[in-house]
Amino acid sequence: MKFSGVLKLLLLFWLGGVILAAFFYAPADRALGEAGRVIIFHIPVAWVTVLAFLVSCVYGVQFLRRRDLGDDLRAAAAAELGLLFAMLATVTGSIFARITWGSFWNWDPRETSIFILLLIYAAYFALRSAVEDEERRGRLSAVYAIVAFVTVPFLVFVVPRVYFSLHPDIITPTGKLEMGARTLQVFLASLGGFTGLFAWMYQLAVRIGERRQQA
Amino acid sequence: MLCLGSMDALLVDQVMAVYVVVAVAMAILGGIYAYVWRLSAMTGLSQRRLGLGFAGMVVLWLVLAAAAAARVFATVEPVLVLAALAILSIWALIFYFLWELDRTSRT
Repeated sequence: MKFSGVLKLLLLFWLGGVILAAFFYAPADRALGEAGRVIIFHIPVAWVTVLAFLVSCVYGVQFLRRRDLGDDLRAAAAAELGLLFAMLATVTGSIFARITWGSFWNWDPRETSIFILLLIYAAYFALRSAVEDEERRGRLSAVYAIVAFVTVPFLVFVVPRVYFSLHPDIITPTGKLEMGARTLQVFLASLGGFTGLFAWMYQLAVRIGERRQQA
Repeated sequence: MLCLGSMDALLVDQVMAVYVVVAVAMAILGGIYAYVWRLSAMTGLSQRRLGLGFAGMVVLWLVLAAAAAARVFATVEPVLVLAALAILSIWALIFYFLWELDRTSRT
């Protein structure tokens, strides 16, 4: 078996271990009870969203430098995965909101900012579908991906902390993670696992996209 | 939705909270599953098998819900075990399809 196969099997057991640990190793949260385990899955999804949009921005820059359509494909694949994970972060956050705040949607700063982010990246795909010429589409999309990513740190990290939010924040004002030791271990393992899963899905999306381009 | 009448209030809260965690994990895995489905359409991977897998996922979820509805639990621990098993099996299913997609996309 090749090294990449071993890594994929490792991912199977790693995320399997995270699922088990989320229920049997991490204790129930003091404030949120059993529902507190949600953060082990919800936050890594939000993290992958940011990572995917960053990759899209990096390949956007690469496209503008080299004018290689392969870079445009990689930027679009990353933005697509970013949009998927942003939707999942929104849906899972909404489910969590229902049990903690009593309603699925409250237009809280955190919810509003992720909603705006979804619109921004949905527009990226509207733009792509509106331009037929590949080179022009690549150029416009690359510029858009770069500009769109500039908004990500503000919408994900700044806005929800500037305005009052009901959303629990795991980062304290002093910059420390507010979590029990066991929960933190499982949470970090989950972050690593989801990052690995994103890497694999991204690799597949790019490979299949390249095959379609060649066909 | 679920009939949890015979349980005490604390246990009902705990079980419902576990259900929220399962719903969140299922939503994430379901989204990933939908993405794999979309990619599979481009490679010729059998969508029938994917469909069967999805049906299996729904059945598992129903079994979990039915078990709670049948008021078989006196503590939250069996619910945690069922929840972990349900999520684990879906993750294994998704891994299998990703693996298959990886293999077919190379040929």
